[in-house]
Amino acid sequence: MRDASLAAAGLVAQAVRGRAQPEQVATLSRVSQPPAPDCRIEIAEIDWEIAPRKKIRTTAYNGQIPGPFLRLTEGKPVSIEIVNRTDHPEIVHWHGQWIPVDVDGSMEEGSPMIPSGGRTRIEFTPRPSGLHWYHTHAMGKRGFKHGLYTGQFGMMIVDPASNPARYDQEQFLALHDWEPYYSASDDGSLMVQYGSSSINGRQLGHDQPIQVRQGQRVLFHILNASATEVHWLSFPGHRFQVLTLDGRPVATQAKVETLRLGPAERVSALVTMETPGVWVLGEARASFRNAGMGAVVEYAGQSGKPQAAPPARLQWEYGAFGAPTPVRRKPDVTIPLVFTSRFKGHGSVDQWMINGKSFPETDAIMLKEGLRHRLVFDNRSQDDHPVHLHRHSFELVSIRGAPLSGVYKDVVVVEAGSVVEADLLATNPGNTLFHCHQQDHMDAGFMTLFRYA
Amino acid sequence: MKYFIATLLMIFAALSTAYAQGNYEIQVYGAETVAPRNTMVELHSNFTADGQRRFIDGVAPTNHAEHETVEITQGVNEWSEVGFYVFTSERSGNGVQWVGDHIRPRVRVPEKWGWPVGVSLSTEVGYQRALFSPDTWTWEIRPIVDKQSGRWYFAVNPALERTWHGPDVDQGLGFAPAVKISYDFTKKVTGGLEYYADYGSITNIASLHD
Repeated sequence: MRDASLAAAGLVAQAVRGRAQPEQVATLSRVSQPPAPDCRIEIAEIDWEIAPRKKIRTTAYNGQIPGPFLRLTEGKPVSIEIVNRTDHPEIVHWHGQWIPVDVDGSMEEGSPMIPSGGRTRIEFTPRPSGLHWYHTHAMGKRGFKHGLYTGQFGMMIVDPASNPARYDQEQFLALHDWEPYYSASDDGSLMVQYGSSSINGRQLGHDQPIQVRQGQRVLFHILNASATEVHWLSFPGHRFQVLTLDGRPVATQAKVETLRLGPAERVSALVTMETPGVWVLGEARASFRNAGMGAVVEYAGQSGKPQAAPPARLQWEYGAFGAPTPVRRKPDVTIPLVFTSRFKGHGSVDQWMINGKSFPETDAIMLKEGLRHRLVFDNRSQDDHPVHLHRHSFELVSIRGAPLSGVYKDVVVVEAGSVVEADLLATNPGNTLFHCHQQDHMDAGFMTLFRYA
Repeated sequence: MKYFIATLLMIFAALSTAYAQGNYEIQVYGAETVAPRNTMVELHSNFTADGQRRFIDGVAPTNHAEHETVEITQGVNEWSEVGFYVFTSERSGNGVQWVGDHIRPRVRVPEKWGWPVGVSLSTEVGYQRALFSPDTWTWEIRPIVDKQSGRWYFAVNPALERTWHGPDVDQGLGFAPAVKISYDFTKKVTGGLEYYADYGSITNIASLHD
């Protein structure tokens, strides 16, 4: 048995500021050799084989999908060199990390873009611990050649000092959708659909099976790196014991049959292998599973065709992971955030607005350091929105009026027509981007900046 | 008021040019197909306010006839569908009469191919009783090209028709194009124009004014 990396994050570590412009790195290297970076990420176009004879032309990190897996230690500074070998500016966002603006990787906050052919070097001190990820924060645009429609994403674990959870095996699964195209949606506007899907860059049946033994406890770290799709995962004959959401330990480690992950959400869940066979751990919906979203789990001594079975129903409630008795706290400030859309024709995507305005015309939300801000996400649109706050986490305090505590997130899916309340402790000064993590929504104005007063 | 006028324009444009077409079901097709494992049921209703008043060559009068056409379309996969039509006619003193049936397979360029326009090909074959149509067995092939850009929509159907049994059997292929243009005023209100024509045999195209 090994110790898992799942303890509550400490808040004492200080992030290290400092980065160099692309040209500065080159100049400095002639004067004095800087120490080698802890890791290097090279952004370039590749042909990626998601299945035999099925190649996708895309942009990726270090020629692989997902990008290189990073295992960092909370509180221990890390240096990363990023090289952009594409023909357009790029930027890498360190999703879920409480780090300064200049290294967060968001041009809207003020982080610099990496020019085509340029390079940069960043340093930061990872915090909080848990399952996080890094990805491009470039706009998607209409051609689907940029942003999260590409393969520019990688998984990252930040290990804490200690952890009570125990497991026999760790598995990392990154979900993604490929070959995007626009299609008419039920609500009358264009929506993005996909021709194929994958886990860890491979379609179902075209990656090595996950080998397990009966009685093993396998810790699955799962990331939804899709540009726009919510995904439901099931594992026939098994249940997921959810330990963390977005890298943060939950108050109640409930067992569930299905996991729902909005774009950018992460789940770490323990599964006890107690149903021998050959199974498909994958999308609960056949359409996505048939498109390739699945991984084969093979028990020792078992063989045969992998079995997939739809769950009785798709069910997911954040409240299942909250404290049995929710703790009510009084906020210092309440901030309403109303999500609406404007119809732009059946041949367009909607324009998205926060409090009646689209980015960059949105009014900045002012935060006061040290105060508890209650964010009221009021979704008056017909779409679900996985909204994300950079450089901070928030605690869910109510969903559709039902109180909740003990669930900390940096992405929350606000369902159509619902209100979600979340408390934000303003402890990381600097511009902070808030946006829908659905690429086509953020490209169409669904963003705003939080600023510290 | 503007929406109302636009909607009326669409209706009048259809009526004023459609009399030369089959008076059971008429529409400009878009490239989109019914989703796989989905079934769409439509009812097309026509009333002939001023039509043929007596039997001509064995074909029943159409004046004050009510035509109801049931269209059932089954989505097969992401790029094909099959439509089936049941034509009926009701006229005072004659009750409800079965007129005939058509079947219409249609394929399209899948959306995932990312073509800049929607492209589809429909073919329709069927039978009408001689009491209601002098040409009893007919066949049509209908290329479809459409484009939705923002609020604007455009579709063109340069259809070719052929009579297999009936007086027009010797006319060969006929050219019957149709065009539609529309504008989305809101999510639920769209106004536009549809144009239908029948230029006769492709070897002897009628002038625009005929």
